[in-house]
Amino acid sequence: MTFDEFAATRLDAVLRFAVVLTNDRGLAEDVLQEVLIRAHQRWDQIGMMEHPEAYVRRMVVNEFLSWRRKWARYVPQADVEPATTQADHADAQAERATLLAEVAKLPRRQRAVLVLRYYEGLSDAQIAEVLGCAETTVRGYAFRGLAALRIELTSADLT
Amino acid sequence: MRDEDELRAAFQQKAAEAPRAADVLRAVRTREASPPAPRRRWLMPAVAGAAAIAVGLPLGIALSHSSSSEKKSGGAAQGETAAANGRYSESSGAGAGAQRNAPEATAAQICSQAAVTVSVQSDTLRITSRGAACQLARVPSVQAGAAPGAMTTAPAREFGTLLPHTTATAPLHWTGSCTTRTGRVIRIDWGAGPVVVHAAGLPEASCGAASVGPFHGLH
Repeated sequence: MTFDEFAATRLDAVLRFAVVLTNDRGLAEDVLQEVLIRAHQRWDQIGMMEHPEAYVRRMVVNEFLSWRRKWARYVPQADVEPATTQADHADAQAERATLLAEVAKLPRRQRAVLVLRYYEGLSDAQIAEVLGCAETTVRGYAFRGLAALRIELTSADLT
Repeated sequence: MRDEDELRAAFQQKAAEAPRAADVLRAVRTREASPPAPRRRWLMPAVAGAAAIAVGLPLGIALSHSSSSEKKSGGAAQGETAAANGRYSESSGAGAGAQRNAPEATAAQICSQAAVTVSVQSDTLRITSRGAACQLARVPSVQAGAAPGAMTTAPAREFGTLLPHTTATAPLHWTGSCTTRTGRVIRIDWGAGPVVVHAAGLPEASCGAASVGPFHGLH
Protein backbone atom coordinates (compact mmCIF):
# COMPACT_ATOMS: atom_id res chain seq x y z
CA MET A 1 0.00 0.00 0.00
CA THR A 2 1.37 3.37 -0.97
CA PHE A 3 1.08 6.42 1.23
CA ASP A 4 -1.43 7.97 -1.13
CA GLU A 5 -3.55 4.85 -1.07
CA PHE A 6 -3.42 4.83 2.68
CA ALA A 7 -4.39 8.49 2.83
CA ALA A 8 -7.28 7.96 0.44
CA THR A 9 -8.74 4.92 2.13
CA ARG A 10 -7.69 4.88 5.77
CA LEU A 11 -6.86 8.38 6.86
CA ASP A 12 -10.44 9.37 7.67
CA ALA A 13 -10.74 6.52 10.13
CA VAL A 14 -7.41 7.35 11.76
CA LEU A 15 -8.41 10.98 12.03
CA ARG A 16 -11.70 10.10 13.68
CA PHE A 17 -9.81 7.92 16.11
CA ALA A 18 -7.45 10.79 16.87
CA VAL A 19 -10.36 13.13 17.53
CA VAL A 20 -11.94 10.67 19.96
CA LEU A 21 -8.63 10.00 21.63
CA THR A 22 -7.66 13.62 22.12
CA ASN A 23 -11.21 14.87 22.58
CA ASP A 24 -10.11 17.95 20.68
CA ARG A 25 -10.41 18.44 16.96
CA GLY A 26 -7.54 20.89 16.62
CA LEU A 27 -5.20 18.82 18.73
CA ALA A 28 -6.16 15.71 16.79
CA GLU A 29 -5.10 17.46 13.59
CA ASP A 30 -1.80 18.51 15.15
CA VAL A 31 -1.08 15.04 16.47
CA LEU A 32 -1.96 13.42 13.19
CA GLN A 33 0.15 15.86 11.21
CA GLU A 34 3.19 15.04 13.30
CA VAL A 35 2.52 11.34 12.89
CA LEU A 36 1.94 11.53 9.15
CA ILE A 37 5.11 13.49 8.54
CA ARG A 38 7.13 10.87 10.36
CA ALA A 39 5.22 8.02 8.78
CA HIS A 40 5.67 9.45 5.29
CA GLN A 41 9.43 9.62 5.78
CA ARG A 42 9.61 5.88 6.32
CA TRP A 43 6.60 4.71 4.46
CA ASP A 44 8.78 2.23 2.61
CA GLN A 45 8.75 0.09 5.72
CA ILE A 46 5.28 0.96 7.01
CA GLY A 47 3.67 0.32 3.63
CA MET A 48 5.08 -3.18 3.59
CA MET A 49 3.33 -4.07 6.82
CA GLU A 50 0.23 -6.19 6.90
CA HIS A 51 -1.78 -3.52 8.69
CA PRO A 52 -0.30 -0.08 8.11
CA GLU A 53 -3.37 1.50 9.64
CA ALA A 54 -2.79 -0.30 12.91
CA TYR A 55 0.79 0.90 12.95
CA VAL A 56 -0.20 4.50 12.26
CA ARG A 57 -2.88 4.29 14.91
CA ARG A 58 -0.25 3.08 17.33
CA MET A 59 1.91 6.04 16.37
CA VAL A 60 -1.03 8.33 17.09
CA VAL A 61 -1.47 6.82 20.53
CA ASN A 62 2.22 7.15 21.32
CA GLU A 63 2.28 10.73 20.07
CA PHE A 64 -0.75 11.50 22.20
CA LEU A 65 0.81 9.91 25.28
CA SER A 66 4.19 11.54 24.87
CA TRP A 67 3.12 14.98 23.76
CA ARG A 68 3.41 16.25 27.28
CA ARG A 69 4.29 19.90 27.01
CA LYS A 70 2.05 20.76 24.13
CA TRP A 71 -0.67 18.65 25.55
CA ALA A 72 -0.53 20.48 28.84
CA ARG A 73 -1.56 23.63 27.02
CA TYR A 74 -4.39 22.03 25.16
CA VAL A 75 -5.91 19.65 27.65
CA PRO A 76 -9.48 20.68 28.27
CA GLN A 77 -10.10 21.55 31.87
CA ALA A 78 -13.84 21.43 31.87
CA ASP A 79 -15.45 21.50 35.23
CA VAL A 80 -18.13 18.90 35.04
CA GLU A 81 -20.91 18.87 37.53
CA PRO A 82 -21.42 15.46 39.09
CA ALA A 83 -24.19 13.60 37.38
CA THR A 84 -27.38 13.60 39.32
CA THR A 85 -29.35 10.47 39.96
CA GLN A 86 -32.16 11.88 37.89
CA ALA A 87 -30.37 12.49 34.63
CA ASP A 88 -32.21 14.02 31.77
CA HIS A 89 -32.37 11.03 29.43
CA ALA A 90 -34.31 13.01 26.88
CA ASP A 91 -31.24 15.02 26.08
CA ALA A 92 -28.93 12.16 25.16
CA GLN A 93 -26.58 14.38 23.27
CA ALA A 94 -25.96 16.58 26.29
CA GLU A 95 -25.39 13.53 28.43
CA ARG A 96 -22.83 12.24 25.93
CA ALA A 97 -21.09 15.59 25.94
CA THR A 98 -20.93 15.42 29.70
CA LEU A 99 -19.54 11.92 29.53
CA LEU A 100 -16.90 12.98 26.99
CA ALA A 101 -15.87 15.85 29.23
CA GLU A 102 -15.40 13.40 32.06
CA VAL A 103 -13.39 11.12 29.79
CA ALA A 104 -11.17 14.08 28.93
CA LYS A 105 -10.30 14.44 32.60
CA LEU A 106 -9.05 10.89 32.92
CA PRO A 107 -5.32 10.15 32.85
CA ARG A 108 -4.23 9.75 29.26
CA ARG A 109 -3.43 6.06 29.43
CA GLN A 110 -6.81 5.28 30.93
CA ARG A 111 -8.42 7.35 28.24
CA ALA A 112 -6.44 5.60 25.52
CA VAL A 113 -7.49 2.22 26.83
CA LEU A 114 -11.16 3.18 26.87
CA VAL A 115 -11.02 4.62 23.35
CA LEU A 116 -9.18 1.62 21.98
CA ARG A 117 -11.61 -0.72 23.66
CA TYR A 118 -14.95 1.02 23.14
CA TYR A 119 -14.33 2.99 19.95
CA GLU A 120 -11.87 0.82 18.06
CA GLY A 121 -13.21 -2.39 19.52
CA LEU A 122 -9.80 -3.86 20.24
CA SER A 123 -9.29 -6.71 22.65
CA ASP A 124 -7.21 -6.25 25.77
CA ALA A 125 -4.39 -8.18 24.14
CA GLN A 126 -4.40 -5.85 21.14
CA ILE A 127 -4.55 -2.80 23.39
CA ALA A 128 -1.63 -4.15 25.38
CA GLU A 129 0.34 -4.46 22.16
CA VAL A 130 -0.49 -0.92 21.11
CA LEU A 131 0.45 0.53 24.49
CA GLY A 132 3.38 -1.80 25.06
CA CYS A 133 2.19 -3.09 28.40
CA ALA A 134 0.67 -6.22 29.94
CA GLU A 135 -2.95 -7.22 29.53
CA THR A 136 -3.45 -7.02 33.27
CA THR A 137 -2.24 -3.45 33.15
CA VAL A 138 -4.75 -2.70 30.42
CA ARG A 139 -7.53 -4.19 32.51
CA GLY A 140 -6.40 -2.11 35.47
CA TYR A 141 -6.53 1.09 33.41
CA ALA A 142 -9.94 0.17 32.09
CA PHE A 143 -11.28 -0.70 35.52
CA ARG A 144 -10.15 2.57 37.04
CA GLY A 145 -11.32 4.60 34.07
CA LEU A 146 -14.75 3.04 34.06
CA ALA A 147 -15.04 3.44 37.80
CA ALA A 148 -14.23 7.13 37.51
CA LEU A 149 -16.89 7.50 34.85
CA ARG A 150 -19.38 5.50 36.91
CA ILE A 151 -19.86 3.04 34.10
CA GLU A 152 -21.17 -0.37 34.93
CA LEU A 153 -19.47 -3.25 33.22
CA THR A 154 -21.84 -5.39 31.19
CA SER A 155 -19.35 -7.37 29.14
CA ALA A 156 -18.42 -10.55 30.95
CA ASP A 157 -14.99 -10.86 29.37
CA LEU A 158 -13.77 -7.46 30.37
CA THR A 159 -13.22 -7.98 34.06
CA MET B 1 -24.67 4.39 36.84
CA ARG B 2 -23.99 4.44 33.13
CA ASP B 3 -23.39 1.52 30.87
CA GLU B 4 -20.74 0.81 28.27
CA ASP B 5 -23.09 1.51 25.36
CA GLU B 6 -23.35 5.10 26.46
CA LEU B 7 -19.59 5.36 26.28
CA ARG B 8 -19.58 3.83 22.80
CA ALA B 9 -22.28 6.25 21.69
CA ALA B 10 -20.38 9.19 23.11
CA PHE B 11 -17.24 8.18 21.24
CA GLN B 12 -19.19 7.81 18.02
CA GLN B 13 -20.67 11.25 18.52
CA LYS B 14 -17.19 12.68 19.05
CA ALA B 15 -15.84 10.92 15.99
CA ALA B 16 -18.45 12.67 13.88
CA GLU B 17 -16.77 15.96 14.70
CA ALA B 18 -13.62 14.93 12.87
CA PRO B 19 -12.51 17.26 10.10
CA ARG B 20 -11.86 16.04 6.59
CA ALA B 21 -8.72 14.03 6.27
CA ALA B 22 -7.92 15.84 3.04
CA ASP B 23 -7.40 19.04 5.01
CA VAL B 24 -4.93 17.36 7.32
CA LEU B 25 -3.18 15.76 4.39
CA ARG B 26 -2.89 19.12 2.66
CA ALA B 27 -1.32 20.61 5.77
CA VAL B 28 1.14 17.73 5.92
CA ARG B 29 2.10 18.25 2.27
CA THR B 30 2.61 21.95 2.89
CA ARG B 31 4.84 21.31 5.89
CA GLU B 32 6.83 18.75 3.99
CA ALA B 33 7.31 21.11 1.07
CA SER B 34 8.49 24.01 3.21
CA PRO B 35 12.05 23.88 4.49
CA PRO B 36 12.28 22.92 8.13
CA ALA B 37 12.44 25.97 10.33
CA PRO B 38 15.49 26.10 12.53
CA ARG B 39 14.02 25.33 15.89
CA ARG B 40 16.69 26.91 18.03
CA ARG B 41 17.65 30.01 16.17
CA TRP B 42 18.26 31.75 19.46
CA LEU B 43 20.60 29.07 20.73
CA MET B 44 23.79 30.00 18.90
CA PRO B 45 23.79 33.71 19.83
CA ALA B 46 22.92 32.81 23.39
CA VAL B 47 25.75 30.30 23.64
CA ALA B 48 28.18 32.69 21.99
CA GLY B 49 27.18 35.47 24.36
CA ALA B 50 27.49 33.27 27.42
CA ALA B 51 30.89 32.04 26.27
CA ALA B 52 32.09 35.58 25.66
CA ILE B 53 30.99 36.61 29.14
CA ALA B 54 32.47 33.51 30.74
CA VAL B 55 35.85 34.11 29.10
CA GLY B 56 35.93 37.86 28.81
CA LEU B 57 34.81 38.88 32.25
CA PRO B 58 37.50 37.07 34.28
CA LEU B 59 40.08 38.00 31.67
CA GLY B 60 39.08 41.63 31.84
CA ILE B 61 39.22 41.63 35.62
CA ALA B 62 42.62 39.95 35.60
CA LEU B 63 44.00 42.37 33.02
CA SER B 64 42.57 45.29 34.91
CA HIS B 65 44.31 44.22 38.11
CA SER B 66 47.51 43.47 36.27
CA SER B 67 47.43 46.83 34.55
CA SER B 68 46.76 48.79 37.70
CA SER B 69 49.47 46.89 39.58
CA GLU B 70 52.02 47.62 36.86
CA LYS B 71 51.03 51.24 36.71
CA LYS B 72 51.25 51.46 40.45
CA SER B 73 54.70 49.91 40.62
CA GLY B 74 56.02 51.60 37.52
CA GLY B 75 54.71 55.00 38.31
CA ALA B 76 54.76 54.97 42.05
CA ALA B 77 57.46 57.55 42.37
CA GLN B 78 55.85 59.71 39.72
CA GLY B 79 52.47 59.43 41.40
CA GLU B 80 53.86 60.28 44.78
CA THR B 81 55.66 63.22 43.33
CA ALA B 82 52.51 64.39 41.61
CA ALA B 83 50.56 64.04 44.82
CA ALA B 84 53.20 65.90 46.69
CA ASN B 85 53.00 68.68 44.19
CA GLY B 86 49.28 68.88 44.80
CA ARG B 87 48.18 68.05 41.28
CA TYR B 88 46.14 65.17 40.04
CA SER B 89 47.50 62.96 37.32
CA GLU B 90 45.11 62.20 34.47
CA SER B 91 47.68 61.17 31.97
CA SER B 92 46.01 58.21 30.34
CA GLY B 93 42.24 58.44 30.12
CA ALA B 94 40.50 55.31 31.28
CA GLY B 95 43.70 53.93 32.72
CA ALA B 96 43.97 56.90 34.93
CA GLY B 97 40.39 56.39 36.02
CA ALA B 98 41.16 52.84 36.98
CA GLN B 99 44.22 53.93 38.88
CA ARG B 100 42.21 56.53 40.69
CA ASN B 101 40.40 53.78 42.61
CA ALA B 102 42.26 51.78 45.18
CA PRO B 103 43.02 48.35 43.74
CA GLU B 104 41.03 45.56 45.31
CA ALA B 105 42.12 41.95 45.19
CA THR B 106 39.84 39.07 44.42
CA ALA B 107 39.65 36.21 46.88
CA ALA B 108 41.76 34.06 44.59
CA GLN B 109 44.60 36.58 44.55
CA ILE B 110 44.85 37.22 48.28
CA CYS B 111 47.69 35.37 49.96
CA SER B 112 46.43 32.25 51.66
CA GLN B 113 47.87 31.22 54.98
CA ALA B 114 49.65 28.35 53.30
CA ALA B 115 51.29 30.59 50.74
CA VAL B 116 53.16 32.73 53.24
CA THR B 117 55.20 32.53 56.40
CA VAL B 118 54.03 34.86 59.14
CA SER B 119 56.03 35.91 62.15
CA VAL B 120 55.71 38.57 64.81
CA GLN B 121 58.84 39.70 66.51
CA SER B 122 58.18 42.21 69.26
CA ASP B 123 57.15 45.24 67.25
CA THR B 124 57.42 43.95 63.70
CA LEU B 125 55.06 41.84 61.64
CA ARG B 126 56.76 39.91 58.83
CA ILE B 127 55.05 38.06 56.02
CA THR B 128 57.21 36.18 53.54
CA SER B 129 56.00 34.67 50.30
CA ARG B 130 56.81 30.99 49.89
CA GLY B 131 56.66 31.04 46.13
CA ALA B 132 53.92 32.62 44.12
CA ALA B 133 53.11 36.29 44.10
CA CYS B 134 49.91 37.17 45.94
CA GLN B 135 48.08 40.12 47.44
CA LEU B 136 48.11 41.55 50.96
CA ALA B 137 46.10 44.35 52.42
CA ARG B 138 48.42 47.31 52.57
CA VAL B 139 47.28 47.89 56.14
CA PRO B 140 46.42 44.63 57.93
CA SER B 141 44.33 44.19 61.02
CA VAL B 142 46.02 42.95 64.15
CA GLN B 143 44.66 41.94 67.52
CA ALA B 144 46.54 40.61 70.49
CA GLY B 145 45.23 37.49 72.16
CA ALA B 146 43.36 34.57 70.67
CA ALA B 147 39.96 35.79 71.73
CA PRO B 148 37.21 34.54 69.44
CA GLY B 149 34.99 36.89 67.54
CA ALA B 150 35.48 39.41 64.85
CA MET B 151 38.56 41.51 64.59
CA THR B 152 38.06 44.93 66.02
CA THR B 153 39.14 46.49 62.75
CA ALA B 154 38.98 45.20 59.22
CA PRO B 155 42.01 45.22 56.97
CA ALA B 156 42.26 48.05 54.50
CA ARG B 157 40.64 47.37 51.14
CA GLU B 158 43.67 48.51 49.24
CA PHE B 159 45.97 45.65 48.35
CA GLY B 160 49.56 45.34 47.33
CA THR B 161 51.45 42.52 45.70
CA LEU B 162 53.87 40.41 47.64
CA LEU B 163 56.39 39.21 45.11
CA PRO B 164 57.73 35.64 45.23
CA HIS B 165 60.23 34.99 48.02
CA THR B 166 60.09 38.52 49.32
CA THR B 167 59.14 39.76 52.76
CA ALA B 168 56.76 42.52 53.70
CA THR B 169 57.08 44.09 57.11
CA ALA B 170 54.71 46.21 59.10
CA PRO B 171 55.41 48.05 62.35
CA LEU B 172 53.36 47.16 65.40
CA HIS B 173 52.48 49.67 68.10
CA TRP B 174 51.04 48.23 71.27
CA THR B 175 48.47 50.45 72.81
CA GLY B 176 46.99 48.16 75.41
CA SER B 177 47.31 48.98 79.06
CA CYS B 178 46.93 45.53 80.53
CA THR B 179 48.89 44.72 83.58
CA THR B 180 48.96 40.99 83.01
CA ARG B 181 50.41 39.02 80.23
CA THR B 182 47.80 37.18 78.15
CA GLY B 183 49.99 34.94 76.09
CA ARG B 184 52.03 35.13 72.99
CA VAL B 185 49.22 34.87 70.52
CA ILE B 186 48.24 37.42 67.89
CA ARG B 187 45.46 37.37 65.34
CA ILE B 188 46.31 38.92 62.03
CA ASP B 189 44.07 39.56 59.05
CA TRP B 190 45.58 40.72 55.77
CA GLY B 191 42.39 40.08 53.79
CA ALA B 192 42.22 36.30 53.94
CA GLY B 193 40.58 36.11 57.34
CA PRO B 194 42.09 36.03 60.83
CA VAL B 195 45.27 34.00 61.22
CA VAL B 196 46.57 33.09 64.66
CA VAL B 197 50.31 33.62 65.09
CA HIS B 198 52.45 32.75 68.06
CA ALA B 199 54.63 35.75 68.60
CA ALA B 200 58.04 36.05 70.13
CA GLY B 201 59.31 38.85 72.31
CA LEU B 202 55.89 40.29 73.00
CA PRO B 203 55.83 43.13 75.51
CA GLU B 204 54.32 42.53 78.90
CA ALA B 205 51.29 44.70 78.36
CA SER B 206 50.13 43.01 75.23
CA CYS B 207 46.56 41.96 75.86
CA GLY B 208 44.98 45.06 74.51
CA ALA B 209 44.66 46.42 71.03
CA ALA B 210 47.57 47.06 68.80
CA SER B 211 47.83 49.44 65.94
CA VAL B 212 49.73 48.46 62.89
CA GLY B 213 51.35 50.49 60.22
CA PRO B 214 51.25 49.84 56.50
CA PHE B 215 53.33 47.08 54.98
CA HIS B 216 56.67 47.86 53.51
CA GLY B 217 57.90 45.71 50.70
CA LEU B 218 54.64 45.38 48.75
CA HIS B 219 54.35 46.31 45.11
